[in-house]
Parts: sequence; structure tokens; C-alpha cells
Amino acid sequence: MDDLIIIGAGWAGMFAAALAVATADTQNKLLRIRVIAQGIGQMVVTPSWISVWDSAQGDLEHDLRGLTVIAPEHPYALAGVESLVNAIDFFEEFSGETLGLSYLGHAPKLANFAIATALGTVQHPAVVPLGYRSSTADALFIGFEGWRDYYPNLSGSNTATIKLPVDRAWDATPTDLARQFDKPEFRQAVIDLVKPRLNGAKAIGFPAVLGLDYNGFANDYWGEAFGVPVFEIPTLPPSVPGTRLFNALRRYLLDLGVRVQIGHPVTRGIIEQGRAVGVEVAAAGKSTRFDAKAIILATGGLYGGGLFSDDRGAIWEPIFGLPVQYDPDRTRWFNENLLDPRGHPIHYVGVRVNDQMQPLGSSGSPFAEGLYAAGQLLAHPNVEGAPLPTETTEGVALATAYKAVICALQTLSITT
Amino acid sequence: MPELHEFPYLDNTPFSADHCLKCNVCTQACPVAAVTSLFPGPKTVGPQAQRFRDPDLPSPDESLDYCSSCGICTLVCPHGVRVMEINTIAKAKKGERDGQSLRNWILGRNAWWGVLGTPFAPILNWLFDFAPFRVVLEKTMGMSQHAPFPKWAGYTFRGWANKRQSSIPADAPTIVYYHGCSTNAYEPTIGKWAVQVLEHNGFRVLIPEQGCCGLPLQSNGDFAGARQFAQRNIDWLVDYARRGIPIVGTSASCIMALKSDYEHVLGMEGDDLHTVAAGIYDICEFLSLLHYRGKLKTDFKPIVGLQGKIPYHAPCQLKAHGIGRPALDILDLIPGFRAVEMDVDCCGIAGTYGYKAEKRQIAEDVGKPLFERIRQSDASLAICDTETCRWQIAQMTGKRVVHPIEIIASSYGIVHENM
Repeated sequence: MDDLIIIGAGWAGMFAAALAVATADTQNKLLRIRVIAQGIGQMVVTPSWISVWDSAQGDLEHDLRGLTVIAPEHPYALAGVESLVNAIDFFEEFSGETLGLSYLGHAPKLANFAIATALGTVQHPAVVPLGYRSSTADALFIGFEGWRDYYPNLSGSNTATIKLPVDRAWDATPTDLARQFDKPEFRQAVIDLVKPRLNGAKAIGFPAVLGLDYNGFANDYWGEAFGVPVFEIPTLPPSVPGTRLFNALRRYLLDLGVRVQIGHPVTRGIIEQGRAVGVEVAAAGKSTRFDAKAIILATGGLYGGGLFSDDRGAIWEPIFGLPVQYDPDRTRWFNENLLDPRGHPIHYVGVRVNDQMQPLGSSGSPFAEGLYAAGQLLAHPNVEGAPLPTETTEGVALATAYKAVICALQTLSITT
Repeated sequence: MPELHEFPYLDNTPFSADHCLKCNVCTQACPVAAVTSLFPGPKTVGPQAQRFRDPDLPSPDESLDYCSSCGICTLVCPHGVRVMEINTIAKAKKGERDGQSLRNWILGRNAWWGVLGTPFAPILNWLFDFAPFRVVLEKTMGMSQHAPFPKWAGYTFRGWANKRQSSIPADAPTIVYYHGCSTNAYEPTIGKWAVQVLEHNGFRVLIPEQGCCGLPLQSNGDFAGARQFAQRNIDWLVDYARRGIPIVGTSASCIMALKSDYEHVLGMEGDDLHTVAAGIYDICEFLSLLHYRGKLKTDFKPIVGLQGKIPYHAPCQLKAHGIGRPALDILDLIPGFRAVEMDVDCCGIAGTYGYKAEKRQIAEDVGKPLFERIRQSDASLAICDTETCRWQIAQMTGKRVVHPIEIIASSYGIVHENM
């Protein structure tokens, strides 16, 4: 029997596993943790930054405290603002010191960055990989000849297109190119191609492919090579910065004995006498059962596979059959305009939880003991002044996973 | 609650391509595409090409042959597309059209060579160690001179088992051992340990008639031949499965063939097939299950010389079972050391793939990060559940690579060798 099963390997699931095992490790306790996911998590298709509330201006903590008043059912309000702050503190320190990736947040107060995207727009996450720290003014944007995933003239007017020394550049994924950048001789070749094109540019923007294993930002390799700051611009998926984080997290978890089982979905949660005791996995030949003292459901929302819907207007949570908060009139799932500033009502559906991250049954009390939920699976209140679920994705994942882990560990007699 | 059969797409290999949204997660994770431009990745030759495939038309992409069928693509797919299975079926279609090379014909039939070679073990072992012979094999047939050929043991596991007198009473619970070809002819000690570990736990071990699982034929595109092997195994084993007698095996890849490939790759059907698939276990999976039920003997003793962290490689085929890492779960019960799973997906050999001269370099490049980690480890050995992976890792790292059953047996005091 395990201590903790985490279902899902996206932001919430991987973060929850890392936080739980790191917490137990610092107390010299061995925690048996199992991460089970149908496929690789959403992390590898995200830019790897943490969106807390993209449209908020100024001091994020202040705005979040305001949110807890107008939307007390919001995941941030239920998990508590301090859960988010603690989660981000942990993440920044852990990603740097333990994973060897450098992340940057505004200290001492959480605030949003302005980060250039591949379409020339600006996004406002609150914590970013160091490589995204950009100053686009007077920047030179580098494109790769024939490559279909990034067009520098969408980023700015000062561009240079270089011919990378690779076969079939047109067909390369961002990861293919990043693996090339892991080789010192390849990096040098690119430096030699770009340097003569600088013409007084104050910074250089590359698509985010500058190494999968190699981190040339922590040691300022790139800045030293060019004499001006270098930054990355997120690409089409799969995302290299997201994959760097996923790979580093997975290695960390495996080294500490966490089982990371990717490939077979959990098909059923098992509840005995009001307590979640285990799960069944759709293994080859027959289903396989895994039991645990606590279970964190981090399976995502409708896009992540944590919720299912059909053409008759039903939405359900397939593992435990948790009640889902949604409008059964399917005609009201969508607003008229695709790019409606409030998004669509369907984005807000999810599972209701209490302030211990326990999913609620139809009576309003916890559905089962030992069961917690985190991330996009949670219902987001669609009220005036609350953020869109799509602008809080990683922040909600971290805050709710943090709270879920704290509560789950308490049941295992581990305090944080 | 939804059951697996309520998601028919999971069960129908060709149509699972409909769930592909072209996210490229599989291409990114593909260990082969990462090291060679000869293979454009599982998405391109799989779900993408699948829409141009008609049962009566040739496959549109020659690069398909470079797919190693490791199956990482199927595992990482968030949408349930059976990418590897699609590719393996398409590869077989290509094989039907183009015909088989002598080399692939031979590699598909190691079931025969193991047994036929046994009486000639000393000569054959010398010959396969003799570099000029390997050069000739490579030049004439394309069998890589650098690939890790196993040694014939000179006797078969079945021969040992037939002669052996078991002390287990006749009324003890019975279990069937599926040993596979490699244990039979090359590594019979693995079978001996398996039998003794099961006996230690109170089982009477039956070793009925059985054959090659057919995976080498399947991998080399001979589906007709693979189905013959498969059907015979089902016929031999189904009665045990029907009676609830567990069938266990020590080769995670062979067991995976019986659990899943017969249906999802070879396209076979029927109740017998499902009964066998549900009744067969990887040996560590079975021991884990015993432990879960409180029936595993846990008189594990520390093993002399085995301490610290020991690298464990979970083979692709084991990961495909969806049973977690049962070897680690059992090894965790043994005091004195900790087996640590490596974060590298594939060792590169992928069954017979790494034996082919044109693919040998790819196979070595795929496993490179794994070999480096194991080489750098302080441990004198590494642990892995499948045979060709063990041989590949041993050859590329110079370290001993053992099946978990060897560690388990040692810890029970069944073998008294220092490691």
C-alpha cells in the first residue's frame, strides 16, 4: 500500500508529488508516492511559466485577497492566498537549488512580467524561467531558415534569419532543435552566424529552443557569448522550457523513489466505508489495483481529461463520479463570440471542493475521506471581477496542489 | 463507473488515430527520432500517415522501418492513441509487400536457434566471440558485429526442470511458469530462481508445454508466423487460466505479448485470448500481488556486497504493462540497498532492432544517457526485467545486469553468491 497516490502528471500532479516527497525527505521520512497518468502531463505543452492572474495589475497578493471576498468559492480563496505564496516560494527555491532550473519572480511582492510571445503579443505571467526575461526594445529577433514554428517578423522589425546546420530544418520540432543546442559545437556555430548580424542591437530574442539539457541562462553563457542579453520566446508546442521542467521533476521524483507511471489511465476510484482507498488502472490484460492512504486527484479539466462531456449536455468526472458543477443546458455552455473577454461558461465547470481541497458530495459535505482534488479539475466561479480560468492555470494548480498536499500529509502525520 | 470497454477507442488500434490532435508529444518523447533524422517520429509515420492507409494500399512512408516499436509514444500520448501499435501493423504491411530479408527471418526465430544451438554451445559461443565471424555475419546478412549476442548455456531450463525433484507437496497451490525462449536456452538460471522463489512462497510450479511468444516475429513483420506461435500458446495455457491457476513469466516483453500484443497488434480475437491475457503476470507483478494480500514471505536478508543505490532500468515493454514498477516494490522490501529507477526511457536495443547493422548506431545512441548514468554509478551491477535490454546495458556499461528475480532469490538465501 502507498501513502499517497496522485492521479495526473500535469502542473498540479507533478508539483504535488515534488512537494510531498521533498517535505517528507527533509524530515527523513520515507513516503511511498505513486503518480499515475494516462499520458504525459500538460506541462510539456505550456510555456513553463506560472500564470497567477494575467490581467491583474500591480500587487498580485492584494488583488487575490480582494478576490477571496468577491468569490469565496474560487480555488484561490479556498486554498488561501498564503497557499499560493508558499507554493511559489517553494517552487522558486526548489526549481533553482534542486532542479538546476532558474525561475524568476518579482520579490518581495508577486507581480506580473510582460513576456513576448511568438505572435508578437505580450503575456503576463508572474513567475518565469530566467530565459524569458526579455527587453524587446531594440532587440534583434532570430529566425531559422525554413523552420515553420517561429517567424521573427511577428516579434519585431529587427530580424535576422540564419540557416541552421541541421537536416530537414522545416520538419524539426522545438525539441529537435533544442537537442542540437545541447552540443557545444552547435551553439558555437549559431553564435558565429548571429554575431555578424547584431548591428548594435541591445538584446537578442531566440525561439525557446536553446538547449534541452543545457541551461545557458543560469551561467549567463549566452549573454557572455554575445555581449548583450539573450532571451527566449515561447514556441508552438511541444514546449522546450516545459519539457526541461518536466524532465527535471521526473528525475527528481524517481531518484527519491516516487513511482511515475505514465501510459495507462485510472479508470475507477475505490471507496470503502466513506474512505477513498485505492484506484484501478487500465493495465494490459486486466485492471491493476493500487491502494493508498490518501489520493490527490489532479486529472485536469475538460481539456486535460479530468472531465468528460457528451452531446446531451452531461458532464461527469469519470474516476470517482464526483458531482460536477455545470449548467445542464448545453446551449448556455458557449458565448456567442469565440474570443469573448469572459471566455465561455464551459471553462468554469468543475468539481467543488472545501477549504481542505476535499471534493464535495451532492450534500455539500466531503465526498470521501482521504480524497483531495487540485488544479484545473476544480470549479471556478464565473462572477464579475474574477479571473478567467485560462489566466490562472498554473497558479491555481500550485496553490490547490500545495493545500491538498498539506492536508494529505497531515493525515499521514507529517506536518509542514 | 466507466469500465474500459466503455471506451471502445482504446480497444481498436487503427481507429485510435482519430484521437490524435497532432500535439507532437509522441515525437518529442520518441527515443529514436531524438538521435537520427532517418526516422521522422511516431506521429508522422503513425496517426498522420494512418489516414492515407488503406488495407489494400502500400504504406506511404519507407522510414517506418526505423521505428523500434519501443512503445514510448503510446505511453506518453495523452489521448489514448495506440501509436506504436499502428506503426507496427503498418510495418508488417510493408514487410508483406517487400518480403523479408534472411536476416529478419532469422532474428524472428530465435526460439529455434536457442534450442537447436544448445548441444553445440561451446562451438557457437566461441564462434560468436570470434570477431572475424561477426564481421562476416554483418557483411553478408546485416547482423551487427557490435550487438550483444547471448551465450548458449549448453543445457535447457526445461531439461533441468524435467529432471528435478520438487519437495513441494502435491496439494500445494499450483502456478504455471512461462519461461520464454531466452531463459530456456541462454539464461536457465533465471528460470531456476523463479521456480525456487515461487516454491519458497509455497507454490507447486508447473512448467507445461509452451512456445515462443511470437514477439520477435511480430517485430520483424511476420504477423502470420507470430499468430501461429500465439495461438499455440493460447491453446496450451488457456485451461490453466480458466481454472484460475496464475501464469507467471520472467520476461516482461514476452508477457506483454500475451497480455496485449496478440489482440492490439496481431489483431487476434476470442474469449481464450482474453482469459490468458487476464491470467498471466510478470513475476514481480505476481509477487507484489502476493504481498498486497499479505501472502508474500518477507524473510529477506541483506545481500553481501549489495548496498547504496543500485540503478534499475524499467524496460519499455514493462512500462507498457501498466502495472507500475513491481520489481521496485519487491526490492524495496530487501534491506541494505535501494534500487533507483533511471529516468531514461529506452536502452535502445528494442528486442531485435539493435541487432541490425543499419540500426546498431541508433540503438547505441538511444541508450547513451542510460549507459552514462549506470557507468557513473558506484554500484557494480544494475537491474532490469527483460533479456535483450540486460545484454545491451551490460555490453555498453561493462557492468553486470541482473533480473530482479536474482536479487530476490539471493535475499531469500536461495543462491549464495556474493555480488
